[in-house]
Amino acid sequence: MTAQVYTVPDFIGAARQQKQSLQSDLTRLEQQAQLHEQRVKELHQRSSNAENEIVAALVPNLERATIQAVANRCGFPALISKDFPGQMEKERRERQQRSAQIQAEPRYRDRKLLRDPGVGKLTRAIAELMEFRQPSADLVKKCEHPRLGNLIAAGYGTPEYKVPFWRASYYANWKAGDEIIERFGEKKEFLEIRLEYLDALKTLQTYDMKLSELQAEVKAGEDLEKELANQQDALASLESRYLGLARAALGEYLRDLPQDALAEVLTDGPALGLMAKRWAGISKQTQYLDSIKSQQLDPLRARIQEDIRRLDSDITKYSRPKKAFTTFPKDKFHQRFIERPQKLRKHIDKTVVVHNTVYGFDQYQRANMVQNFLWWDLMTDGRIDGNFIPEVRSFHESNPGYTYHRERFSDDDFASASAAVSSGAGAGRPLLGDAS
Amino acid sequence: MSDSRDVQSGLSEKRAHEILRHEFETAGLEIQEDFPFSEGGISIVLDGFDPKQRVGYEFVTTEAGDRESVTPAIIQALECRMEDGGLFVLLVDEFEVMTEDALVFAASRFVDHLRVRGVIR
Repeated sequence: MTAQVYTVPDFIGAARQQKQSLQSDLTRLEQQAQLHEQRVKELHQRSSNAENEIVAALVPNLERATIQAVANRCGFPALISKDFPGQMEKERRERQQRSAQIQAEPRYRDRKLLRDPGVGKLTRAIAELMEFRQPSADLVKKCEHPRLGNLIAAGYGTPEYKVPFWRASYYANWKAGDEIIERFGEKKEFLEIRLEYLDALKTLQTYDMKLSELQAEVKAGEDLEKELANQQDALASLESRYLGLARAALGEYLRDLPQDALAEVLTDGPALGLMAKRWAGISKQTQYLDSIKSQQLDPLRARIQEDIRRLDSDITKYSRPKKAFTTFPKDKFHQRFIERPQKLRKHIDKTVVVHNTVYGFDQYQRANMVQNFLWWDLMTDGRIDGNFIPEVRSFHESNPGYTYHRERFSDDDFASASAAVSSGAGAGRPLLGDAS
Repeated sequence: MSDSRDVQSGLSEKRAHEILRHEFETAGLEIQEDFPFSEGGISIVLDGFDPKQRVGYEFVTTEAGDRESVTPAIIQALECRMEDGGLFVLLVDEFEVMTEDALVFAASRFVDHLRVRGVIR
């Protein structure tokens, strides 16, 4: 005979089992959330690739006629007024002029003569100066001491030294002086060292002034060489840079166009039409996946976490001795531990399937962007209710008579489109597909 | 006395007094700490002073607030007296003498100098 009531041990047993099952569901949803991030990232890359494909097809070069034609076609007069060809030519002239100037400059023209390592005129002069200054530099270094400045300023070792013996600095100077004298090995008075030091400083000053001039000359020449190299690199990349700018400007403009306007602009020829559909479709896929995550996945995770918390709380509650004889009616027990979990599992399964379905869609060629058209129905073949997505709900509200008919989104265009697009889609994409 | 105020002295006021007192007493002086010296218009509390032999020391630090009390005018007045041989006070600025060794060197050479001059026995 089936029990009409369940006992506390039944409850706790079922609760623990359910908790385990929910934890497994939670893990599954968390994995799905991580997969979502990967997929969205991949779709962003594909969208970027699709956009690049379109703008490259629309703007194959920077000739004025090309720019004019695409600006007129897309309703984007700013593409003309930005005058990328003009800007490019201006930059080219400026850089060529500057390059010619540099090449005519003696510092550049005579660079080998001046700066060749070892034999250049400047190089040799610097080496010579370094050699001449070395003895003075060595002497100055030998005299280095934290108190040297004080000794020189106070005239230590000279008749002018007036620091009285009752000042501690008298002894600090004495000690410092002795330390410096010691470094010279042979018996020297500090006065002699002082004179040699000051003389060496003066010599260094003279040599170093000349050395700075020579080094500045060398640097100026090297800077010119670097600048010329940069100018030539910039000239070499000129066309690709401005072409990139023009394409980027066009891409930004097209991104903001409503779908039907985009379709009008880009239905000129099957190849371009397919590119447009792919671009628009990928954008929609990303949007829908984000909605599935925020409207379905995330709330499910939150709900499961709350259910687990409640189970823990109930397990604790009914484990207390005073609750030992509590009984649970069969209907409530079944609802909690059988029916609800089954519904939840179905909901999770459906959410995962919807996510996979939307992500896995790749039949962009079937879209008909000029008609009253809903990507959601195309992606899910009209089989999944998408009203939890604001855009889908809004479409249905604005088009109360709309029904999805599969046959209206046929593959008639597919043959010519796939022939035109050398790297088109068309092959079935696995659920964990790679980027196009 | 000194302008090298950016450098931190490693010598505390307390330790400096210990060294100075030791060096001066080793030289035979009878040091009284915090000696109130007031003569000829000079009024200063000297860190250590032997009133019989009229020899002492003053360690000038920011910590002890000496820079407000041991003014350039007081230093000048003391130095005038020392030039006349009326008294001898080793003047130590914390920024001039930064280590124990340096202070021992200064204090011991100072008292030696006084001995050579016949100021102390």
